[in-house]
Amino acid sequence: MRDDLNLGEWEQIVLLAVLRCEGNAYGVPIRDEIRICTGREPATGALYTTLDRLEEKGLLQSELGAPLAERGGRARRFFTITTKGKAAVVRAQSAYRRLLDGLDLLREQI
Amino acid sequence: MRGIRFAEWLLRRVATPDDAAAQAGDFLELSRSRGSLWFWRATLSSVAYGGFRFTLAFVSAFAFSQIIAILWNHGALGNQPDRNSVYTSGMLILVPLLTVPAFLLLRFGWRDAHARFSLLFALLAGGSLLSYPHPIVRWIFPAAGILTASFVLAKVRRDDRILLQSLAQLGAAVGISLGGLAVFLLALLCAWVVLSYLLSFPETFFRVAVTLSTHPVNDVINAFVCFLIVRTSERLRKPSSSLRAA
Repeated sequence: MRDDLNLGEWEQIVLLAVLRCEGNAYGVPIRDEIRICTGREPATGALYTTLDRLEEKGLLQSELGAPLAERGGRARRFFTITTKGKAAVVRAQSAYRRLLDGLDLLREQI
Repeated sequence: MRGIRFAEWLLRRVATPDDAAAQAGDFLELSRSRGSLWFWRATLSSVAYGGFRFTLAFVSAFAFSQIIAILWNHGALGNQPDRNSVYTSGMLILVPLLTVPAFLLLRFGWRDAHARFSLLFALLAGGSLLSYPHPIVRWIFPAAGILTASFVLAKVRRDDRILLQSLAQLGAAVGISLGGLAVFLLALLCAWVVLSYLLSFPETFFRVAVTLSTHPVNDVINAFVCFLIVRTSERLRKPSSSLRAA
């Protein structure tokens, strides 16, 4: 598999949300993080499908936690970003930064 | 929350059992603040989303293989038209063989080792079975298959599940061909019984048998078995999730 995977905007958002959850990245906090940071309520199907796809691509890996009574005995599925995933995010974000350089758009917004 | 087991059962239609349980658990957790209506909306939306993606890929793959098979039967692919010999017809060989790799390629892309391995089987088996009368094509298909094999070999070595899954797919593909053949033989038997009493006319009997074996019901059986194959292959692709260390 090639290492120069191109990430779509939604994939970058999901990867960054996983990174921000720092070790507690399962469905609920990932969804909250996306909602808080982007103001968008992610569609349930789209979120889980994207998490699966990113795992297929080797950008995320997942493991099951212990079954919890408050979840009706169901375990949480925790996601962590892989080295390859981090590299893909950094590459995509660097491209955005280079494009933004010298434009001062963020300052205009403030 | 009432009905969570049913929700999990619904989610299992589009996800592995581990993923379905984790998703149902997430929805249950969120429903405490959002209500049970939200829980069911989220469940149904997740099932609809996953189901739509699966259905779209399956219908496209099945339609693609049907078109190739029809072209083959009409001799549009540089072959001899194959309208009378049902066993070697494209419908019985090409549809099951092409549906699985086409589905996997649409769902997971060319980079997916399972999809490439499945394509390898389709090329090898399809090429060997269908290119018999054509010396040039007869060698191109297996050669392409061998090239694909060498291309994916490294992946296969790293993951034994791919080999296991591909063998299961091959078995299922052979099974569907035999299933189609069984329909043909059954039709042949019925026609023989009826016509030997009524007409005693062997040519008519053969023509009726061919007509029956190419009846749309064959397509329905093929579609159903192809559906079962791709469902199984999709499930087999993903192993059970590992457990997080406490």
